[in-house]
Amino acid sequence: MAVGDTEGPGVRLRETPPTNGDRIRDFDQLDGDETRAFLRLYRGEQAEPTIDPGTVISFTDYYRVERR
Amino acid sequence: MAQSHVIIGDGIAGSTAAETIREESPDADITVITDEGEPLYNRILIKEHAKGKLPEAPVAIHQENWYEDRDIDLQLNTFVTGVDIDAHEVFTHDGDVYEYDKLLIATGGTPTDLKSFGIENSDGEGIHHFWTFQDARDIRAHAEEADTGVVVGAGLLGIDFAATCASQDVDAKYLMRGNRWWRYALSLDGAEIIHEGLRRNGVEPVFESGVDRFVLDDDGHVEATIDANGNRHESEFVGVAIGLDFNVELLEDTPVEADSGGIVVDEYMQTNVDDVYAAGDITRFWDTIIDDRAQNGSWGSAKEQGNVAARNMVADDEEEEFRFVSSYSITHFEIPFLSFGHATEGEEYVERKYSETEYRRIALQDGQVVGGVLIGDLSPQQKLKQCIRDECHVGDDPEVLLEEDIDLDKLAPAQ
Repeated sequence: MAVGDTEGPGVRLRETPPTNGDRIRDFDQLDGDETRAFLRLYRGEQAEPTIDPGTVISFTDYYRVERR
Repeated sequence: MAQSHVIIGDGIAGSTAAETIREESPDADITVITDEGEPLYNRILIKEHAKGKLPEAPVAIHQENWYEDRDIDLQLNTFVTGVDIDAHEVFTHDGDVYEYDKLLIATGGTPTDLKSFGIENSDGEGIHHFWTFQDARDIRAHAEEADTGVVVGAGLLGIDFAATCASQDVDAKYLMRGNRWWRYALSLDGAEIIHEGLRRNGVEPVFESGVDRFVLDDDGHVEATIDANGNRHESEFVGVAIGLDFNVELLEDTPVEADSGGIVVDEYMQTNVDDVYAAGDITRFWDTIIDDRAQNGSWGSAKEQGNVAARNMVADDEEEEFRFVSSYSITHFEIPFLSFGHATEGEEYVERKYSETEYRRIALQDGQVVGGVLIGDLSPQQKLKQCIRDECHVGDDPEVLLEEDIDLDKLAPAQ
């Protein structure tokens, strides 16, 4: 799994331990566009920023969506 | 004149309904009644709290001021004792009466107890069920202290207990009937990926097993589980997840079509009684995709049902139909896992194991995809869910669904 290894504009994922102040959404709470984008990012591919940067996604670990 | 809407249940179905009604009908009276002591929280994330991975704050979704801001009357810690369908009244344990023009029942379920199967000592201290945020708090606190554990229930809820044990360093045995986890949806090939994940994380699957009885200490606390083969498993902590009983007692003396399996609704979330709707896990809804009655316990499905019910309640008409392909992910043990649609309802299945960590199984009825399971690579989920929505037929070659990159053009349209 290559998180955050891609070049280019858009967003990336960074593994991060969650904190009290985080806005956390589970993978199952993402809509169709967000799910596709997240899975692309999770595979190390580029994706459009359909998930708000700063959001933390609970998946196999916790991943923060960040702007590149 | 503004209508009065009473919603029983403040899970994602009930809460979404309240929000939608307010958006659609700014002048409506809206009351939400829940037996829980806190407003809507993220039921998906409570397992992360139990595992010790997540503090409490991110699990909460609404605070009480969310309801105040929307002029929604939230009644916490309130049990509904009955409904008078003719009078359009809801009765609560503290003697209050709520009149309604439209009633939505979104009460969900309660975990099934082993007591109902006559299992000895199944009400001992330290034997947990997992449904509410409070359950998660209790489970976390106990698992942090426990050294040994047993998990019962080889399905989608039981695995959360197994993950909690793994995360909290509880040396646990996972008792399963049959030879594999979630045997109704997975072959042994697919289940073995999960078994390996369990073992890697200190949870040992025990097959062809189950609970015969629990052994309690002098203080009434569980100390061991005797399985169906007479083997003793030391267990200071026990997690039981063998199913849900749906909360329909409040409808006992009403003509609403309901039993312990849930409440029957049509595709508009309407029950057989005028002005009474239901939404969420509790419904046995008419699924227009498979033309059959179905039930689903996923967050997304419950949310959409609440939304659809609310729109139809406000419109007082069959304005919007529930048509949705659900999905449910499990991401414990570093393994991405997704169940979608009706994964256990196939008349036939096609499957492939691509590697030790990747697997796909598709459920078919009359040549139509109705559901499936993905392990490892979840990216095919988009096309497979579209295939279900479009009711496409796989013809004579269902194996096309197992290609790495599924080509939907190879599939026939709905017939």
